[in-house]
Amino acid sequence: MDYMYSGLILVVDLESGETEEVDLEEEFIRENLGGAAANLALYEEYKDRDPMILGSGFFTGTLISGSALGIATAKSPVTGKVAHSPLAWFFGPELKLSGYDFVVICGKSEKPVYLWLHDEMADIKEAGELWGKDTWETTDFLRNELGDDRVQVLTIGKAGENQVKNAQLINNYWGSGDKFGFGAIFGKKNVKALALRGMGELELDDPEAFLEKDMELLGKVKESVSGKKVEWLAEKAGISLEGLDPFIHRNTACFNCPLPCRPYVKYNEVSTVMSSTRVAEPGVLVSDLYGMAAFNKKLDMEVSLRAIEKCCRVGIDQVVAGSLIKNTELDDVLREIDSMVPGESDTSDIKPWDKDFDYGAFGSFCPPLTDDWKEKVAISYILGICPILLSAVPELSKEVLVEMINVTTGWDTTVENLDSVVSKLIG
Amino acid sequence: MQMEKKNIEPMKCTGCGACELACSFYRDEVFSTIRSSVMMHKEEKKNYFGIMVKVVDDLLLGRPEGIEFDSEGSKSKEQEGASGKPILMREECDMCKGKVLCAKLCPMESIIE
Repeated sequence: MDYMYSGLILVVDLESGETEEVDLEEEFIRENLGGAAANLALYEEYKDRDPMILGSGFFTGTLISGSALGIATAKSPVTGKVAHSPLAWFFGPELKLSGYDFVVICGKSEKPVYLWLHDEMADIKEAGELWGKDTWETTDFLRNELGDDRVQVLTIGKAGENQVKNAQLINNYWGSGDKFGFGAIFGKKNVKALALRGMGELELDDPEAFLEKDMELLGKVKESVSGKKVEWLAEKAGISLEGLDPFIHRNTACFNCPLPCRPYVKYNEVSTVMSSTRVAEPGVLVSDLYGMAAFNKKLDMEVSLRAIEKCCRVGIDQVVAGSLIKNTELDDVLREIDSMVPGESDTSDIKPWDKDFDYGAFGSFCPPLTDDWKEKVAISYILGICPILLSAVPELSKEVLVEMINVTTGWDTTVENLDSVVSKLIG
Repeated sequence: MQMEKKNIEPMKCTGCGACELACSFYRDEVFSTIRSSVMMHKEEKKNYFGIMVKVVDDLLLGRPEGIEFDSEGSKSKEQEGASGKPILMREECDMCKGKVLCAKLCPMESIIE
């Protein structure tokens, strides 16, 4: 199979507890390319069964720079409309290489469950003992239970379990690009987590030609992003990082990305400690600059960072929690975040993004870095390349991406075809 | 020909895993991570990461603390991963017979030709 996919769609029926494998036809990928556009087509096909779709982009898991993105698509509890949440870090590649390019989760389970996908096998497993655990405990438990630290986990905390409107899907331990309350959908479905391990492979049409073009492209990408880190992203997004520097341990990157825009910060040990010490939980990954800024407007930086950890553990959107927070002392702040996650709490007046910009169905994972933000993000969500990288690198143009599609598949698709798929998302 | 200490600069690494993908691509011309002679070692909650390279009769470890050969450490549990293919069962690095794809495709130049 040489159209950049493993070849299977998994349909999970939570009502019956059964799973079904559907062949991923080449024609479907030619029509939709992948990612959010393919998710949307699957959403329409299964919409009578209250679906959430988890999908990988066309280039997800490949050697094209920034190929980290997976996409979740569902009707948002926040907006009431169908929306797409990007799942970066290592989720997308792990999903595609698990053997399932797309997962359609239908209905609601009677009891708490988690899904375990690996080696073209899908299990629905009881999660009674996981329900009530925070996301860090859940990821630790699953990695231990499944015997592999490289298992990627999408999970919910108390906010999701209690179906709080702004509950966020948490990726392993960290906040994700879910700005649409998809954590509440996991909660409603009684799904505590999805665990993935990808040990498959993706074939391509012309490996030699691909490698030559990819190396040439990587050279240009590296030149474009040279020296760019979180400081660049923050400046472009209009966010102050004042006070963050003493906490930064190392800048990290998502899968195969040359732009390490995610700083890991330490506050439970000195940030310059590079070895693995006995401090099991030294800090947190800053994955949402808007979330950090929402806290840091009111709190000092250390309390802000500890508040981010708390949001990750209970699985609530950091921008929403940061906007709602009234206390300033650490213990009070942590208690206040806890008070936001019972089901009866109302977060509905708070939008999880900057109100001055229309993020539509895509959310604020990628700040408005370019004038053609909407098209860039749509292409990114379809092809599985991080929108931040796509915005930072002019050389990752539509023409170049189409050329890479053709080299990997042997097709003769065009920019017009890509535009037509993009128009399915942005009209 | 195989990877040497001079080929790794661990503190330039951002943990992206491109090296694994590059190595598997050299082996089989597919996108995969499982056939690689290079493996990321990660303790995610601590943001502790480095690479392990299977070389002849040994492991080359590139970690934040430094670079060393470690055949004893290669048997420890955390460097295997029960559902993955243990690093010791993987093919030994041969520098892609001169192509050194992991270095060419490392976006941070943490692996050097």
